[in-house]
Amino acid sequence: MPSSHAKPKKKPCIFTGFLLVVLMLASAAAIALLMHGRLFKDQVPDVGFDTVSQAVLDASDLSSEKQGDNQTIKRYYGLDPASFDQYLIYYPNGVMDVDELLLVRVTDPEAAKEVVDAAHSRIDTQKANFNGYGTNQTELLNKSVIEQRGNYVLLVVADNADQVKAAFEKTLS
Amino acid sequence: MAFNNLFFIFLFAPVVVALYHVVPKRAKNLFLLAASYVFYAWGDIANLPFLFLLTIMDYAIGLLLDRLYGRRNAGARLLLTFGVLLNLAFLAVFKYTSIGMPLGVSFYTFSTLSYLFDVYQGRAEGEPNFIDMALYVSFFPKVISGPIVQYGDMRERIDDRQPSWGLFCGGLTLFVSGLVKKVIFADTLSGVFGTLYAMEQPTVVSSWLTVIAYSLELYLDFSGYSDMAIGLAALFGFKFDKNFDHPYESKSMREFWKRWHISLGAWFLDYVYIPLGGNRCSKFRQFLNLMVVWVLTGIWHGATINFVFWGLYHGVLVCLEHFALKEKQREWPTWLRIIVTDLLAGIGWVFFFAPTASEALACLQHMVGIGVPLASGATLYYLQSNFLLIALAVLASSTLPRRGITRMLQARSSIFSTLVAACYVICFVICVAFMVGNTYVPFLYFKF
Repeated sequence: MPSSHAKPKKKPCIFTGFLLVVLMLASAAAIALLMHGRLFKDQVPDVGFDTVSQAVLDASDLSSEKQGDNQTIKRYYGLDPASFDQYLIYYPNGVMDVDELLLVRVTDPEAAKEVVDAAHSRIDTQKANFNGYGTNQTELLNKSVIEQRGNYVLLVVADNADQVKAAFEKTLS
Repeated sequence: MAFNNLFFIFLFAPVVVALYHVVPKRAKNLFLLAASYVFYAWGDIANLPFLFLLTIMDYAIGLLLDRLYGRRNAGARLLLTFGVLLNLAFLAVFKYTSIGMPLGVSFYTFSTLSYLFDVYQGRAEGEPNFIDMALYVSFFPKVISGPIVQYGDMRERIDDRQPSWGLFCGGLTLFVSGLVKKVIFADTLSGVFGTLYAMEQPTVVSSWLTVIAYSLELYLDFSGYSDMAIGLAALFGFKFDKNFDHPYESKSMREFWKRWHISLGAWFLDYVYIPLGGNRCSKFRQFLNLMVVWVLTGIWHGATINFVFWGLYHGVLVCLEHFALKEKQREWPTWLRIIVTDLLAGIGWVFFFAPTASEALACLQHMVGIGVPLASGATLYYLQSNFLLIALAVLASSTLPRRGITRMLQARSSIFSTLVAACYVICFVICVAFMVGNTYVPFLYFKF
């Protein structure tokens, strides 16, 4: 049972009450702002796949790559393309090439993690393949870009990987 | 940072305890608050601002409730409602959106709500000293996984606490007991549970073993953490009530819930059930009040349908006992009552560990033999290789170890006392060896 207090209550002045109200509202507002920032931090505009892929292709040099299909995705990344919304893949033309491009749109950002992990795994495999004798190839692989924005995942192995990444980010900002 | 972490045990805790006893009395609370924020930030610095801002907000609301509006008038009720809604909205956004949950948010939000309720009910005054109020909310032994100490129960100790050698030693032994439960039993059972649950071809026996392993793991993990929290608090002169009282020795579900996560049950009793009318109303209203409490208890644990169903399940069982079975249960033999209670509790835990409702249903079907054989070679292998572990875990969950130690100490023999002390030291060393050898396994209730 709650107990009552023997001490007589002293009412504070209006000014103290006003300060307390301001403190209460200010802290509540600060919490709301922080939450808002956290909730919408990773959101990206809903841009169509055609727009993103065109921007990425325009920035890319595909002279040493050829376009792949479902089999390429399964073989190089171990992923099931049926789980993607849309994708685009270019793989190396010759055995000594490493230039590669993968652009995937998944159905929700949670599914993107699997693609990102597969992309990292692909790069690691390629680095192991060329370790010790392919210095140019290793350099390109070290410059490679793996980027996730919302539902999109991009992998680029190319001399101008940073420019492709910039085009990708610009389209989705 | 967690309690079963070598850095915490050998550096953070000893340094904080040592410095605390050296710091002047008027600075002890400030020192503890600073240590608590460091502890919290170590594990979750990105979310420390939320803990701090929520504390400020409720500090202001508490003072307004106490000083501006007095007790229980319309203005106070409105302000209390506003404060409660803000706190619940804070909790709901973290629990039920993709924002990512700060460590301990369910626990420290219930602490801030307890503060508001206790001030409104007159159980305590609004605290003008921000440091004292913030210490109540953020005190590091309890901030992440409880116990959910009510403000009215902790307030006096925040103001004034006398060091006591008995309390200090009791705290140390309780901490070691908790560490044993967590590191030796719960973490090992976690591996067993994981293996059993992942079996591609489950059987009836393996399904029951899975439930038993999880039931023991959950109890030893959570009660172990609570013991460590209460033990740590005692090192600083805070006396918290126990949070678990050997619930698997309960003879009914009502008794079970007086022994499992006692602080959460007390919170819902004092701040939800009793204000709704409790037992002082018609039977139908009592039933509604109980179901409201149980649905809220389920939702507190998680937003998925599993937890809601778990809450409803226990609500129905408690209501059945309260309204229908009543004295009839007492006619059953004690051993039967305990087994039935543990069985019912274990069935409830299926909804805890199954990630979806359909997986929970599948597990329950396997337990009664639908679609699976009774046993297999793999099942018998797991049963044989884990029998001793499970038997020891059952023993560790019972009152036998505590009763044995109490009897030895009551004999007032220096040999027995030395033996008990040596046992604690050996257990501690074994725990350290386990921690060094094992991968870190987080506390199960961290996810709430």
